[in-house]
Amino acid sequence: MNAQAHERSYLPLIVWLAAAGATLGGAAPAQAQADPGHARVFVTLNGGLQTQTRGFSEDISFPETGGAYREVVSGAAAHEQARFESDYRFPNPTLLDVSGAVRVAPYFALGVGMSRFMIEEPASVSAQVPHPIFFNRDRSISGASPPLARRETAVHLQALVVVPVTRSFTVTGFGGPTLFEVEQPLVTDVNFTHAYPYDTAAFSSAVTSPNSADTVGFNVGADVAFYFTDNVGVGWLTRYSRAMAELPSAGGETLDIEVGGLHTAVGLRVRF
Amino acid sequence: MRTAPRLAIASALIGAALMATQQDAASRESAVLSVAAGQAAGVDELQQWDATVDGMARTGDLVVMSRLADASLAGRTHEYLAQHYAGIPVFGGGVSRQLDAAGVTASLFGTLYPEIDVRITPALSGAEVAALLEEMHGGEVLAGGQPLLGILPLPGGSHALAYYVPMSDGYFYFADAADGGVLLRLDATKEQSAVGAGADSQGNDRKLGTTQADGRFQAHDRLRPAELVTLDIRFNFRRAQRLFFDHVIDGLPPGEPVWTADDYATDADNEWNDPTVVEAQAFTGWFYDYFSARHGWEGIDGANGRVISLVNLGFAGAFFTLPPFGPEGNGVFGYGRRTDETSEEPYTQLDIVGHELMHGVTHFAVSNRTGSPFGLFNLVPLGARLGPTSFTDRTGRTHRCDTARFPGMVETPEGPDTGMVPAWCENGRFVLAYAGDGAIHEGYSDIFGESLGFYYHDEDVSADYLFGGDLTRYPVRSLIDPGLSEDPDNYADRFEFALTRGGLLEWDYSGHVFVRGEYLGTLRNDEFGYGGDHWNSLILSHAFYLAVEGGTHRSSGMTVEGGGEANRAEIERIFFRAMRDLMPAMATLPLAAALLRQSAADVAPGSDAERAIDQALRAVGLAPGVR
Repeated sequence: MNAQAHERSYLPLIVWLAAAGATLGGAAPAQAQADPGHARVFVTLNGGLQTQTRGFSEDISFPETGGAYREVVSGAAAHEQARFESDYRFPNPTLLDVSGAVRVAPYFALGVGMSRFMIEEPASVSAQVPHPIFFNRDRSISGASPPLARRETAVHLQALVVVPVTRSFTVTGFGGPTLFEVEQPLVTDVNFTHAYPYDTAAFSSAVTSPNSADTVGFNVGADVAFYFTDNVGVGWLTRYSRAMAELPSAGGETLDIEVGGLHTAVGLRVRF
Repeated sequence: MRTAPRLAIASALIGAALMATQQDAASRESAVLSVAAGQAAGVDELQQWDATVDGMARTGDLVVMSRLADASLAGRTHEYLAQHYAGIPVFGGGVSRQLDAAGVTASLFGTLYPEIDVRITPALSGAEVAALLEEMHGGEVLAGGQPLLGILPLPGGSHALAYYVPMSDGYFYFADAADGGVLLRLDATKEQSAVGAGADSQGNDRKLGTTQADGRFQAHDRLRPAELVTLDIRFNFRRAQRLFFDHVIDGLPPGEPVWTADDYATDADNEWNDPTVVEAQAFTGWFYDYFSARHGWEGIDGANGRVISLVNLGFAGAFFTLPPFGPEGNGVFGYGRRTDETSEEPYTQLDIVGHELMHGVTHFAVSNRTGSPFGLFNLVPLGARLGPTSFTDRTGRTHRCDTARFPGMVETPEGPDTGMVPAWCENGRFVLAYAGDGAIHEGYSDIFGESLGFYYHDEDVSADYLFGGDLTRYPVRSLIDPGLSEDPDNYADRFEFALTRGGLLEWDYSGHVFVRGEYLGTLRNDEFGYGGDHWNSLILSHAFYLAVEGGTHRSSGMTVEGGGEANRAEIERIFFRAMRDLMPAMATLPLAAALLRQSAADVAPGSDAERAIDQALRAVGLAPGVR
């Protein structure tokens, strides 16, 4: 599944980078003479938060079997369906964001940026475990998985509108496609313990497996920069990006999760 | 050297007995003392009995067989003291003594024989008696267990030195140690009456514990602390014979199996298609769960021993057979299947399975505590009384007691057979008795078989007080209305039988039935040996029904304020405790009533449950003092 996901085409990114590179290369000889208010190249380096990382949940049902009964939810589906739900929630992760752009017209530039974050959070897990002796007497158990490391890398291809409000103050609006790669381990089963008379069961541990997917979405945002020299300044970036990624599910289907979110970051601005 | 103290003790016992109870002038129990000193007795009476028991224990006439903590009341202890004579056990003799936390006696129940006077040196060894019995059985192989020497109480107050021998025909024999003659035999099988045929099972899905092995699934439940095994007879008589008797015949130790993996009920994909197997296996588990949760009783034997059921036997009925029979020598449960031209119906509905399993629990509850290998069994006709001098049966034939001869067991050159034996006649009057042990056994089995239905009422099972209520043709018995099966609902109306005396056996029940001393009818086909176990059981089980549900008794007119659902569990616990902790090895219905009152007073004094049980027992004619 992961291999399949990586087969997605990087052509848009390559084309975009080629175009930006060509523009940047062609402009380079002139940059020393550029009016700071009309600089050709912009580079930003930010640190910040991703404030809208979407959580998600997964509900997995194991169809009933006639086999042996084992102390794992998938093995407890003896003549009765067993199921568990895992819920993944994330606090605001810190992210690193770097981007660059080249002016191609008085107020228009093309650029590329990359943002990346990693966060470790356990998933909360609840399960309905069929009773080994009676029908319709599921036992409810709940617990947490070990910390699961979610990594999200996004490459943002951007068309920018750069508006120099004053010599020192620049406002930039941008938007474009985003290529995402997300790594998200998922809970695939739940171990439990129980003892006669089996009226209750206890969560033991969650079984997890690594998963990753690539997808394409979009990004829009704005950047406000204040240059305290001709070439160096600070700025505040707000970017919203979003895409849906499909992860392989333990239930045999796919799990759609939302990637991206609202980035808020501040950092260094360089122009020349 | 032992005679004098023994006589003194006997005198004390008789004195105490006469003081304690109003001896029925017609009673034939002058040589048998039924000890019933519980919460209803005065302190002086209880202390006198207690001193007597202590004295007998000091001289070795009573030997402590067990001392168990009360499973319901913290601090309470139950002792069973088995009667011995010169170091030899007296079959069925003994008392249950309940002690409080301070070691003070709270109750005493049991049966004692005060006038034993027999030679204690057997003329024949156990092996010789075994050989004689084997010969008498026409070459049938004798049970492998060692014959147990003991004192057997005989009718009329005498006693015999006798060997107890479980035989391969499914009976326990008591053979005279002097000449090997058979004195008494007891049927090891608690059989459920056969009833009609009908539709298949109820169509509800049940789970059952199985084991996957050798590419198939076996009906072997290992989920519970006790293993539950269902073996499939597949209507093969030879298989049934082997599983039933070979353990005894081969003389194997208890627990060693004669069954193999080939005997299992099996299924290829664990989707079981035989409702008989499903029900036997699943409901045995449910029974286990009920007793574990409600009563703290583990399994059938109270010690999580393996439970083995046989299914698809070729008869319409179900049974429990006591140890040492069965595939491991620990007893066995059997469930038949009635087939006819239009239908087939397994006898494995929840209340039937529960009924049979309760027979096992009753057996082990009493046997474990008393040491009696046959559990609750009356070796003498407790509660016997004198009937008429003559009666005319339904065929118009008049039987005079002094000349009457009824069908019974006789010894012939070819072995035991049915012949004619004399009626038991005292002072020109027939001696009448019923099987109190059997009535209690059956009553408890019905009570707890039906209680399962209420415990599992959320599982689509019948909760109706109708034993066999899911069978297509009948309820076999109604705890609500015993009259539905024309059975008595009042102790005064119990079915009694004219006894026989002599022939092969010292005594037996004839087939002539009496109610209130008057002839009622005769069993069909010259049947005999039945003490009305199932019929009279309804006196006790109807009392249970009234204790829970309340109502006005049909014949006594007494109104019982039932404990209701809120007290159902308490009432069940009181009933079971009376069996588990108090029941001696021999008993009558009045003694059972006394035990129930004692149990209620111990567990729930002053409670609605105690009041309801007392009212219900009174309503069915089992008021305190009734004999």
